[in-house]
Amino acid sequence: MKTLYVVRHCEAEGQEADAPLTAEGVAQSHRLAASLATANVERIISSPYLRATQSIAPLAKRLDLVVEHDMRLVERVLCSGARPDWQERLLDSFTDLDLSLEGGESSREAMQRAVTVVTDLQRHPAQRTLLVTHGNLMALLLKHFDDSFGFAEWRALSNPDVYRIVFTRPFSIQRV
Amino acid sequence: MDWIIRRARPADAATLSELAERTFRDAFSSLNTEENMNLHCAAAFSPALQSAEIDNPDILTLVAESDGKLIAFAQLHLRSDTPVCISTTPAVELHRIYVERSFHGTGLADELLTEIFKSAEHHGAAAVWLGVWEHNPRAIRFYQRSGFVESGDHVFVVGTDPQRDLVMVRRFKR
Repeated sequence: MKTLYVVRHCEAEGQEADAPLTAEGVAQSHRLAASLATANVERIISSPYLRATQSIAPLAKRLDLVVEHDMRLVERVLCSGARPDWQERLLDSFTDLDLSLEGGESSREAMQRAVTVVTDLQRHPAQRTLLVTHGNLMALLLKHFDDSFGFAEWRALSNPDVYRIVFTRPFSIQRV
Repeated sequence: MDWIIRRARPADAATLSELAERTFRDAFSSLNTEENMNLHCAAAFSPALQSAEIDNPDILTLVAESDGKLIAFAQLHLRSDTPVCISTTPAVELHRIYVERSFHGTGLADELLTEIFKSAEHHGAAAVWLGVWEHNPRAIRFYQRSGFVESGDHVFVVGTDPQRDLVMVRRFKR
């Protein structure tokens, strides 16, 4: 694989697996399709959550590609249930990758799960692949490839957001 | 120990691919996961790839042969993108230089490098640059001894592992 696009889903109604895109999110998904139409993407793999698959549906249709689902791309679970201090804990989780909260995944575990997707891509003949995922997992995947990526960069991610990782030399990670 | 250094020929592709993978694994297996080593080797070494590299006019491959066997090789990339930290231009890249373990310490690497420098100058280069893994002190010492100086760094991905390479440069006196 030469190039990997990592996409965060468009604006959604909520955090549940079946939360749909908002009307604005749907409009964003069409603009996203237009902006990626000429990127020569050969394969699209998405978190099976509705907000992820809906975000990429217009591009998939345009390119006549099937959206493959991969559970390893679902959002990282920081902890079970809502907690008021979640942003602080999330901040901590970017510096202590092994921080593990009750019912949650450590950053390292989540990062490793995302990296195994990339490992599989390295064995596949497709040269340009696009992944659709969620903010925290995307931040961790980008952090694997660039350790300077952290909480601030996570917070700066928009809905949608697109990063391009070029594996051939010169290696690069760029917000598109 | 005796050897000759010569340009690689198309007929070397299969043995060169074997040598390249074996020496790469010898050098780095202990510090990398088996999975990342396998991913890298599958992407970088095969008779077809080495054959294409030997045929590529932008790549110069030198091999050392002893008793009819390839024991070392080096590759110059004449047109790869030069890192921004290299201010001397034109610069060509020493993309690979590997010597079979049993020939380490024999002076073969120095001789191979001398031939590489000659070829680089012959192609009009004012400098040779290379990327070397920060965790390869033996190689770094060898390059320093050969006149290379550190000038920056870049990322080299082995499998899915982003590794920091020192970028080193050896300028030619004009």
